[in-house]
Amino acid sequence: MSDFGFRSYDAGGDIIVDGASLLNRFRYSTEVATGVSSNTTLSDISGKSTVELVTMVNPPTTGLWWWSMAHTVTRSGTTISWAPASGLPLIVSSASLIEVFLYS
Amino acid sequence: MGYGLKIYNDNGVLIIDGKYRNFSEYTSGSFSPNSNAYTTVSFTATSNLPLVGLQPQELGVGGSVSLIGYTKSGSNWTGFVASSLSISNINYKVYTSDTVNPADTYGLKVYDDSSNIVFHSGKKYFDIHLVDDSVAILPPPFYTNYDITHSDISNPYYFLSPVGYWIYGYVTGPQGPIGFFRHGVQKISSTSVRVGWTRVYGGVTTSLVSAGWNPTINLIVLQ
Repeated sequence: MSDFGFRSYDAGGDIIVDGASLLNRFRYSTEVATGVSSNTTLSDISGKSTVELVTMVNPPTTGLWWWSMAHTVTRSGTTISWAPASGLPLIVSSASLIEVFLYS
Repeated sequence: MGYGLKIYNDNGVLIIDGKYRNFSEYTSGSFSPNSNAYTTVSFTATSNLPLVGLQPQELGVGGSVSLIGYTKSGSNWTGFVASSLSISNINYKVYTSDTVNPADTYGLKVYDDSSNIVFHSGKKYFDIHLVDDSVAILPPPFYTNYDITHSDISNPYYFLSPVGYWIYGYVTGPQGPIGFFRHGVQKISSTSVRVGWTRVYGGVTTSLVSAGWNPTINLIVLQ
C-alpha cells in the first residue's frame, strides 16, 4: 500500500479508495426502445478505454422468454452505436439499457 | 476540465473528478435460481440507474449465471432477472448512480458543475478491476469455455455483456433433443472464473438445428 496520496475510509475504518483503486467512472446511458437503431458521439472518450454494458429492460419471463435479446452495442472511435437483435435467427428484440463506463 | 479536484491512482489513472459520477453500492443479497431457468430478484425501487454484479458458486457446486435484464416500473428500477439452472445460492450487488447528497456533515464530497454529488467518502464504490474484451467461445456442440484468472483479488463480482445465445438440436431417429443456451459465468475458484454456455431450455426437434448469435464478450470483474 502506498504511504502517500489520497486515501478514504468508511465509518468502519475500511479503506474505500486508495492508490490501488480503479473506481468506475460513469459516462453515458440511454434506454433504447424495442427495434430502435441509433448512435451517439461522445467526443470526450477519445483516447480513453470504455466498456459498454447492455441489458434488457423488463425482459419477458413468460412464454418463450429465451428468444428475447438486448440490443447489440458497438464503439467506433468516439461513436457508440446500437441496433436491435431482430436480424438474428429466431430472436425477438427487447428494450435495452446501455451504460458506458470509463476505465484504466 | 481545468479546475476542481482530480484524484489519480498509483498508475496515473484518473479515478475521481468533478465531471464523471461513480456508481455506489445500493444493496446486496443472494438468491437461489428456480426451475424456470430464470429468476426475478426485487430490490427497493429507485430512480437511479442500476448495475448488478453477480457472484456464482464454485464449479461443481452450482451452475453458471448471467444477467438477463432489469425490471422497471414507471421511472423506477425495481429488480433484475438472472438466467441460471444452478441450484445454489448466487450472490449479487446492486450499484446505482445515486446523486443524492448524504446528510453526513463529515468526510469528502465532490460535486459536478450542476451541483450533483459525484463522490462521497461515506459510500462504497465499485472498482472496475479488470475488463477482458476478447472473451470468445465456440457454441454447441463444441461447448468451449474461456477461463480468466484475477489472482490479485478474491471473490469479486462479475458482469457479462453482451450475452449471446445458441440453439442446438439433432436427431437420433424420428426426433432428438434440442437446447437453447446462453452465455454465463461460473466460478472456478476465488481467483478465477469461467465463461461458458448455460442451457436454459430443452425440448425435442425433428431436424438438425445449429444457429445463434455468439459475439465476442466483455467480462467485467467488479470489486
